[in-house]
Amino acid sequence: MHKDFSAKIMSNVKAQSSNYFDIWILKFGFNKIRLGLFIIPVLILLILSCAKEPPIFKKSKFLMDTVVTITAVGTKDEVEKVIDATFSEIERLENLMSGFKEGSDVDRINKSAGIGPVKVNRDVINVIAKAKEISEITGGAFDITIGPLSKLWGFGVKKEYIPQEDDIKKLLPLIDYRQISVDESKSEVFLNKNGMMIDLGGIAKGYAADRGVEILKNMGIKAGIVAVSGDIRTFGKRPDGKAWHIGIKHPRESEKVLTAIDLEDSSISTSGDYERFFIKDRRRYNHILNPKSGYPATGCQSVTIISKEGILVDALATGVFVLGTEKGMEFIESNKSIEGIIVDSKGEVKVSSGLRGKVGL
Amino acid sequence: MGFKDIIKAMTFGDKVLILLLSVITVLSFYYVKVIFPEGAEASIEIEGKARGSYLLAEDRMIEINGSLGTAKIEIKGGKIRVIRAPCRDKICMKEGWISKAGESLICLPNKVMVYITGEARYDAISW
Amino acid sequence: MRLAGSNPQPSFNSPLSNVGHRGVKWGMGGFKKMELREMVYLSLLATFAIVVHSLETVFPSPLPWLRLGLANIMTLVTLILFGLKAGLYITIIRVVVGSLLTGSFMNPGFFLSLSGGIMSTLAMGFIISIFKNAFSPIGISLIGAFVHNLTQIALAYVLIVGRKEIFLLTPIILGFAILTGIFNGIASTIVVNHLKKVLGGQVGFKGSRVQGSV
Repeated sequence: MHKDFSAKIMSNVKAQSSNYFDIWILKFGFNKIRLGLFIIPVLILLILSCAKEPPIFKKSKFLMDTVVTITAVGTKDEVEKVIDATFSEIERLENLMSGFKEGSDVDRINKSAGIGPVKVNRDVINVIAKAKEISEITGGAFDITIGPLSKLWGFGVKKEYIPQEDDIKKLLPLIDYRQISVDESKSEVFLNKNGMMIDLGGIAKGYAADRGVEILKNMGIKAGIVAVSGDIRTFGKRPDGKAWHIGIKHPRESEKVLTAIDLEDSSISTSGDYERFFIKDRRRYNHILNPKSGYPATGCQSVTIISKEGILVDALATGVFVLGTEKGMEFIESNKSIEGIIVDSKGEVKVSSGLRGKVGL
Repeated sequence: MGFKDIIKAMTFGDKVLILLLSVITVLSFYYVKVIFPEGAEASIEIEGKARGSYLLAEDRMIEINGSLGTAKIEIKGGKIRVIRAPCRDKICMKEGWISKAGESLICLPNKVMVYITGEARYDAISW
Repeated sequence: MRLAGSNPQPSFNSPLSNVGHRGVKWGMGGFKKMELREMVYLSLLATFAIVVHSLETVFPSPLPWLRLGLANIMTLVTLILFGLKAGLYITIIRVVVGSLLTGSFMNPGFFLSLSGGIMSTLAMGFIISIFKNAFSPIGISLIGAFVHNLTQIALAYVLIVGRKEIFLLTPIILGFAILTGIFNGIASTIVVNHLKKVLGGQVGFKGSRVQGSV
């Protein structure tokens, strides 16, 4: 058998003629059934690829008088410690910026109003400087010196209390962001008038989200979300390669989502008249006060702002809410880096030009 | 030799095997549903610490002690809600029933959080 | 496709036949009596298996390790025509060379491929030798696909994911195995029948059988 092996192969080759080594798969050609047999499994594969389990870990904690939820891409073992470290940072910020905590930087600033400058932490300087900037661009619609008014109305503290008009008018001169002196080089803050109070409630949460993201990134997390109540900053992408899918709460139907939007490396914040409010004599009083009139702003049901920085969207959501639907949308459209969604007082939804087609309504 | 011939060449054993494996696959769907009930579990946390997980399939009342006082939570018909809260605003009670993965009821003063486990439709909600 | 050059005749005439004289008794490992053309066919099958294995890595995949398993066609053909040992060789060569080519050698995915491949090859080999003609290549391929996927998911749980949630995928993976199993079985039938014609029923070692007569 061995001897005539090559001869045997040759004869075999001849017998099989030229297609001996033709690849058989090609010979079967691509008629419809065979093509289908190839394509269908590939399609199934593609569809199934959406069902992949994403390694996302989420943790919540009661901080900053609300719930902070941090989401990070990674397994629990990988990311839980990083998330806890981020919570500690946010807790540190809370201890600096809470107006209710005795001895906090903000508390010391308020207590020294009209008396003298107070040396405060760098973070507090950053936030107050940014707040003044935002007050400037919104023409005072956002103003952290709202403190005395907030205290008078006492949302969340007093029960359904409507202050006397005289009391409100007396406080209005104290509400002026230009009366905050910030000395960045000395890290000092001074409220020029006696009785002034700053309230960082409309901006500190956004700053906390920014700082949170910074910590997560520095500690090696590739993608995630820091949500300080509704002030949300995202970075990176979901493990499945998609952008983070963020819902926006419906201002009147609490169980519903108004719309959703996909975000990568940007922030979103919503201010609504539904968060804290009461209805008395058929009038609705919400917790967002207009610094000019001293009464709750009534132009919108909710305002959602989307931009890069958390601190900016947090403050602007409040500021645009105070501006009202028309002026608010004008403001949003005049800034290229800012987008927004406004639900006006009748419940009509207005979307800024840069978001059209990106949100489903 | 065409496609039809190949199908014809399938043996009795093949057919039994396909049937058997299909049955196993269908059963595995059922089995997975049993060990991982879909979105059907609520977790309760007090001050960030897990208090327990409850199947929404079983109607029951749960009393929990938050940092402010006792809250009463009801599970009924696959949904969960807070029916008594010690706080003043009662925001968690006004929220009503929740049942979908990712939804939550939060009582800030009492530091109690109730949420439905499972993969949520949204990664976060802005409010 | 032609072997080594555009014209098969001359390349076949001289170099290969010379190699053949020495190659007759070479064999690979345990295959002492391997004929040259059997070696050629095995090499071809191994090559195809490697190519298909590597190409599949490029496809998008629902799970990092869930594939169509087209390379299983080559394994099954080898099992049917050349027996269990050859089938194992093809599988191991395929996974090792394929992962070297795609740069996944010694990755977790490599071990999943290797163990899944070996387990399914063993399962198919035993089915062939125990049940004789009870199954056509379609049935054998189904068994292979099932064993392959189950091995991988179990191993992925132990080695990589460590979360029981991965078993949520079991029904999807099993359903997928039925589809790929049938598909690969049909493909294998076609290849086996063609090779049988080409080789004139002379292939195979002791213990290996050509089956699935059409």
